[in-house]
Amino acid sequence: MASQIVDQYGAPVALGSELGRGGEGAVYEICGKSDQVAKIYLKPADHEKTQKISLMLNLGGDSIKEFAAWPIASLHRHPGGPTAGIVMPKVSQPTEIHELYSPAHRKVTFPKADWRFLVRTALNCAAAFQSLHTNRIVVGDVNQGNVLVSEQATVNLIDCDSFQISGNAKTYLCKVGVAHYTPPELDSYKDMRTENHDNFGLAVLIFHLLFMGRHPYSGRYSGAGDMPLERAIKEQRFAYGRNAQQLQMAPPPQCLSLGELTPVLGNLFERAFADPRAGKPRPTATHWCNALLELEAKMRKCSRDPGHFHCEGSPCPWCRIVQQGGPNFFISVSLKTAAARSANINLHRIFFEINSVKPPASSLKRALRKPTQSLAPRPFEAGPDSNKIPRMLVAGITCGGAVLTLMGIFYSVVAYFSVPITLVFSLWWLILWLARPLKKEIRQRKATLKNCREGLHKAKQNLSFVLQHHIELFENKINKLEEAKSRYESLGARRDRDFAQLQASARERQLEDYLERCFISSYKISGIGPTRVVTLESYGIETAADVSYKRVESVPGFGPKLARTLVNWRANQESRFTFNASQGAPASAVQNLDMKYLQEKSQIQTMLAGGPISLRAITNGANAELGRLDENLAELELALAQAKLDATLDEG
Amino acid sequence: MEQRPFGEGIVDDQPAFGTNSFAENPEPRVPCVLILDVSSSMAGDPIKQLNDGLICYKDELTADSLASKRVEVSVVTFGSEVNTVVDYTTSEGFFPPKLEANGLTYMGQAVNQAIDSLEARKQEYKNAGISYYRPWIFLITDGAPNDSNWEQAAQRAVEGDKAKSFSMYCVGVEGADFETLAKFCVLEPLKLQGLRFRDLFLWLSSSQQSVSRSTPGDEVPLENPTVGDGWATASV
Repeated sequence: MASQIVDQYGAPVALGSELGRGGEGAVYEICGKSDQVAKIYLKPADHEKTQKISLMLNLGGDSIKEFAAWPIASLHRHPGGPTAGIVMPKVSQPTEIHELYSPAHRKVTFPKADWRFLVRTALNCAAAFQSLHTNRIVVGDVNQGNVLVSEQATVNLIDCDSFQISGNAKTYLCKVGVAHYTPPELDSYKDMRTENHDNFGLAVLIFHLLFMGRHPYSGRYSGAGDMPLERAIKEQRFAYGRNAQQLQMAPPPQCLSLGELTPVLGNLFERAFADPRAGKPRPTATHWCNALLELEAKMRKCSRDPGHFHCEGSPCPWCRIVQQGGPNFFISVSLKTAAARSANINLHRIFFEINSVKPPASSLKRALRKPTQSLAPRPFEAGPDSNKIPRMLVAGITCGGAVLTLMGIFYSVVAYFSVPITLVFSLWWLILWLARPLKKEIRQRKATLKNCREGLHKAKQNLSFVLQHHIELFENKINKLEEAKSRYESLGARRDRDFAQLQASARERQLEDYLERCFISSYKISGIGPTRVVTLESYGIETAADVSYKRVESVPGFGPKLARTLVNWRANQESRFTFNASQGAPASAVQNLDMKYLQEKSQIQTMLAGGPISLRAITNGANAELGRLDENLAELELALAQAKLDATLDEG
Repeated sequence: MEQRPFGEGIVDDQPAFGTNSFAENPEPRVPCVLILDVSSSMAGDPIKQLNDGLICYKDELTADSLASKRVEVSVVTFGSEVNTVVDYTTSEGFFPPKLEANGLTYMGQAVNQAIDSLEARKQEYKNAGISYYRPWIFLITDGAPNDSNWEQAAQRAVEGDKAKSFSMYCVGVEGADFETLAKFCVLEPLKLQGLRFRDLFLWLSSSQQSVSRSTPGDEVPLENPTVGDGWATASV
């Protein structure tokens, strides 16, 4: 860039080196001004943009210039010419906000940032929007790239020339946007924006910051087919809200929930993303400021992990996520603050406690043996033999019938009557005899005895099944804890092994680099003259790295002898290679490795530390259930004993 | 209200991080399957240029902090057998394989395997509550399919493309059977100029960077690789 650039007053502006380039223009240093930069558009601004920029030069108050890359001067190719660019304040810490809210990035770019830092950044975003809105300026194109975050959690807004500005009886529109941050009711980026539109983008930014980079509308969609984010926004499918289930959405696994914030904040998110009452304005920047200040006042330090901070009123959500098998989102903070502190747990003590937890057991022996001696057979309920008289009458008639029948041998006519009568009455007598009340009761008592035996048998089977089930649960848990223990004990060795592998692959890479710089042409190798060198090159064999017995031998004119010579030469070169340990495995890879093992360590520690409690919970839960079954069994035993006695009682 | 600074802080410089974890990196994903021909006709310079192109592709994705979180690469190769040599990973875990050429051209089977893997991957995204952009399938070959039921695979690819389940791009290297290749995609297959694999992958990476800046479900106009100094020519 030459020196023909001037500002709006015609004063020359000397551009320095290029700092960056985007779709719209390139950014340059300005000689002599370390706190300002110049943005030169790829093509000169049109009339409207020129007007917009000159309006912005008059508009921006000092309070806005503190956090926004607001135009300070316009730039022109010649005095009075079209606007070719702008001068704006230089942002010294250009970290895009997505590098903070993304947990994976945050560990690297902001390793010390805990949740308090994220909440503070959210507060500062809200404060910046509040300032702009007070000055009737609308951001319009809210996105993950034009909010920058400093080391102190303060934010800077860039790309201010796309803001929607009103003045001189005209509104200069924003015209661009990023759909993740665009409210459902905005149909086109070319439409007029309102503060209420901005407040959607602001709410998404705050959600990203508080919810570990999650998007409010990215959830587990249970319907068929794809659910693109843009459609989820249009259909207001807020995955964390009260109505999520009706919308076929569920929050992703291993996530913070609205209930783990202050009720006020939870409500603001509901109103921003899920309120079905159309037309009602979203929470404003001021609402967010107040709610986030309240959250800061209610921030509590986790008692277990020094990297964890959370809202009072619920247990630490970050520990909960780790317990559920998720990552420790603030591992880098824990690492920094707890690395010095001996973070090892006392395995001996924990396993002493684990081993002292009794497995589930049936308390049958205690519950049973209610005194059975005092039991006595119940007397028969049946009264006097109530059908004795009818029975005797019927018997008499039967006998009479029998006598008549005998006589019927001589007078056959009599037999015609007496045989049926005898048969009918003898049958009747049999029925009456069987239906004697006492006999009936004895039969009932025997049936009861049988039922009691069967019932008891079943209950015993059930008890042993339930007992077995709980013992298995208990043993599985013990096995898992034992396995975790051995993983815990092997952490150091596994880390060292991985580290050695990293070093080994670094050595291999260095060796490869080294061999690739050993050109055959620069060495005197017996039998390999310039012609042969050219032949080898034409077969892609240029350096020691390309040499192998098979490859050389396959080149026409190269026999086993030359191949061996070259392989020996390569071995000779290899032997001269020395590994530079300082350029060994890259520091980032080593750190990643340590982070991985620290994460595993913290997961295992949480699991082991909670081991005795969860084992006791298994035993207690099991024993409560077994106790109920035991009671039941004891009652059945008692009933059986009674039934046995009852069944032995005889008519006598 | 005034912004409030947060204490003090120091930044360590280190590039790597756990972008392959859904919880730690919940950014929406741009899945991309590369289906690469490693049949014996690719031996020599073509396979070497292809390998270099893959390395360049990784470097470009890594350099972009947003694309490094959003673009996921999978590589399926086909020669006499079909192999998934890279399973879905962000650039962090993408170590370009050193491909070697040999064997026949089991293209149909490779396309089937790629589509199957995409469907499985989408389900994983859904379970984890991760949004995703329309996936890309990039088929690169210098020959024609040798397997028996490639027509069925081709039809499946075209149907998936039409249903917007994924975008299918076919690139033929000199010597490819473009008439057959055209049956695998809705768009015309592209013809690679010479062995400009490097330029192809630069284009792929920059297209995916602009896609990963758009919104899942958006149509993104891609730079036409056949105009100007592009790496391709139209095949007809």
